[in-house]
Amino acid sequence: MSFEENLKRLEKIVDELHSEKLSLEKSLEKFEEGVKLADTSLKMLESMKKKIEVISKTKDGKIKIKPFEEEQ
Amino acid sequence: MLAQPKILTVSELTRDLKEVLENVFEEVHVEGEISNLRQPASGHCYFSLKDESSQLKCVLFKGAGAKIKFSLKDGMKAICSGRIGVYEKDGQYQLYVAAVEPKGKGALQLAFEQLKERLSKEGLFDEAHKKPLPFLPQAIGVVTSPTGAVIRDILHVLNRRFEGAHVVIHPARVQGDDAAQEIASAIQCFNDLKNVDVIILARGGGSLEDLWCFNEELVARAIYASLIPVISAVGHETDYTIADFTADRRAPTPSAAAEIVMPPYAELNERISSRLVFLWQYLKDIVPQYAQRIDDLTEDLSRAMERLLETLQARLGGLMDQLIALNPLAILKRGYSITYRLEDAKAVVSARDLKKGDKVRTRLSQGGFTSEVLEIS
Repeated sequence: MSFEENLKRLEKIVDELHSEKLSLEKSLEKFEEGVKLADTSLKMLESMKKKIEVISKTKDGKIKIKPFEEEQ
Repeated sequence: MLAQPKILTVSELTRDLKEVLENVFEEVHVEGEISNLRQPASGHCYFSLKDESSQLKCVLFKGAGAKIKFSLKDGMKAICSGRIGVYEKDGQYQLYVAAVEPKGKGALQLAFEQLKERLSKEGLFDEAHKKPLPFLPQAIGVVTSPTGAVIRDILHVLNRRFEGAHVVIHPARVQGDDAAQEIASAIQCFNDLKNVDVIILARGGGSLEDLWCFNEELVARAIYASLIPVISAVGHETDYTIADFTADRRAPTPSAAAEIVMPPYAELNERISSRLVFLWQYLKDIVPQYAQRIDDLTEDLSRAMERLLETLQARLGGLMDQLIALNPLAILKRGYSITYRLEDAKAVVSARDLKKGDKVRTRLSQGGFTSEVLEIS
């Protein structure tokens, strides 16, 4: 699931727990899924690669990607 | 003696005229209405410039024509610059056009309007073709000049909203003759590498000439063909380019593009964390709730059992009393007795069943006796 799908599913679960009368088994199931989704979403958010890159072409036309250093 | 008039050949005269005309009219600017426009397969362009009373034949060679951004149309009022030349074969003079400027508005403005109309008709700006932007881009491609304020602004805003956002910069000239080609191939490059999930095309403000590459068909086609959504962020808020119309989303400025593309980290984090807090609170609430319910039910159950036992006991007591009451021997105990005729052992219930002298047997609670009827009353 994408980050967005995760987030939407998490919100749906919370809404269901809020509003619907669920059996204990069902609500514990939902709780467990919700905690897992929140955990995954936070991890996805944290795992976003922390870098800035720049594409360049070598003389023979090959593409190179290297870290970007701003030229002042 | 009369001097013999000099006889010229047609070619000689034509050559002389050519020399005179081409010397005198080396550079002219002529205003008129374009008519009878023809463009054969050669790529050269032939037309006439006319006013109310005269016409001038014009030739626009392919090379010069390529420099003209807009397309010529019959009826268009224009100022043509060039030199007068003589085409010896036909004995015709004509204007060899080097540049054309439309009358009334700038050449670029006209070219912009013409391209906009053409691409719009072709469907390049259709809403249906526009792709949605990713909710949270894993990597953001930026096509712009790697130096200067624009890339700095974009990186600054991205970093403010989401520290450490993954950005891939594809440097490209954003002004001048090669700019359109470089921008188009940068978009293509990202599509080949598939290493970003959104592309920002960015350039700072400038004149119509400065921003011109974003009005080139080449760039529009590259944007339209891109499978990765493209945000155009060219110039200031008031500048609209063909790239803006073709892009999946137009940002008024490069900084705004960064804001559009990246949701703020803090907001996302809060959205998840608040749900997580709710879930744990929910669990904390629900367990005692169920425990309470179990306690209540247990209590109810034992009270119900007690009541049931009481009822059963009461019913049992009643039944036993009834049984005791119904036992015939119990009646004898209270002093009653049963009398049978001795001869046939039938219980005597009426005096009419007996006659004087009958022998009867009487059963008591304990024991019995036999007697004779002395008198019927």
